[in-house]
Amino acid sequence: MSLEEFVVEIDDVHKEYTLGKVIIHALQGISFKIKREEYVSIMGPSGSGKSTIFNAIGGLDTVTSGEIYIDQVDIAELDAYELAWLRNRKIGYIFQTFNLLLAFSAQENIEIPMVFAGVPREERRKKSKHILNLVGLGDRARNKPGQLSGGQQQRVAIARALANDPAIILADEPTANLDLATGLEIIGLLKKLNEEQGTTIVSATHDLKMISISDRIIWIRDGRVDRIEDRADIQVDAMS
Amino acid sequence: MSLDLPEPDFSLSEVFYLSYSNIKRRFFRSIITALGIILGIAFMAALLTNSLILDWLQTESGVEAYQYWLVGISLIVAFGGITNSMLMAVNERVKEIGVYKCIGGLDSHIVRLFIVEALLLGILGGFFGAIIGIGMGIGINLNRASLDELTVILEANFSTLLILFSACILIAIILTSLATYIPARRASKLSPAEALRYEN
Repeated sequence: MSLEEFVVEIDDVHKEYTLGKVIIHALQGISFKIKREEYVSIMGPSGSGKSTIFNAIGGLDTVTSGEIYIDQVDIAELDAYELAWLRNRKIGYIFQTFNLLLAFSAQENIEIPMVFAGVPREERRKKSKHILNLVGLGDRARNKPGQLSGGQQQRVAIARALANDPAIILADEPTANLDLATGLEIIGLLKKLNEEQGTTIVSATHDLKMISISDRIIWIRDGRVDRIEDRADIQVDAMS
Repeated sequence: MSLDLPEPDFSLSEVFYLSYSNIKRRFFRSIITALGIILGIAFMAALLTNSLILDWLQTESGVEAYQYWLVGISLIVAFGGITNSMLMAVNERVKEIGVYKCIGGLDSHIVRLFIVEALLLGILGGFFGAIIGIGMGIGINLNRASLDELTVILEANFSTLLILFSACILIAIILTSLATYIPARRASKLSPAEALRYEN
């Protein structure tokens, strides 16, 4: 795999949908780039289009116009099969509501993306164990989501996102359903993965706790990029 | 741009394991669904058996037209009951389909998961439905003929009963698969974002 500088590039992305007779312009020309191994937060008030951007980057929903490149691949040109492959191998998703498969244990939840990727059973076992240890749930492998706390479920979700060594982890409000302390733990875990494993993380959030650990913050307002701040700028702002 | 994509290996044992886990996890829901199938098939099997036995006992004519009616209705009831159970069972899991899509499941993978589940339920429901139904069909004729008489007739026509038994299971399997395939296929065609947003 080539180590291109930008792992996500989105250019002039528009998204419109109709609600009854009204046309909603959810995204009105969004452009930004995200570097490999960066930790970026997409921030903005509710309804500003954060989740729409999350869905667009993740190939979870189509956009009206504009270009989206993940790892140099234009996702608009992919067919259903290639999109599934992209979601399987290149992107790991973390959701506000965890979205684990309730019928399966923590370890099985991590293994299922590997099943879809065709990883042999032995390798799956080994790798899922390793990832579970990485997120600090080594002793919870056999528990089903219903037997885990919210924070633990989100850790399993993070572990699942890591299953196929994705180029990027996308998180949609990962801390919104968690209390303050648990939210901080999850943020700490994401930051650790970012620093130690070099995982690129893009998080749509309105959790201000994310600010201090993000390399960059993309502020969204009314479907447009309001401003992009580097961490250095934020610290200067705070001091002045 | 070329993505070099190998065909992922999604073996049957894998599919069976995932489907089995889903049935086990939703045990009571699965039981209810299976009961819907059993009820439909049992009703149909009972009426068909009754009709056959009347035929074998060569009771006076005039009952026949009435019997055809009942058999027709029993088929409709079975069809309605089974389709309804399966449609509901898939519909309440559209969000789960969205999750499978997010973690890289192909549409065909997802449909396969649901079809195998439906097959397992269909075989189970068809089997018990047929046993209960045929048993009831025989039972309601006990006032018409003695047990010895019935035994003789049933033994003479055992192969027909066997065909009826297999037909019941087959109908259960076909109806459950079809009533699962159509909504599962439709749901798997949704974009993952739409499927995740889906509210019942």
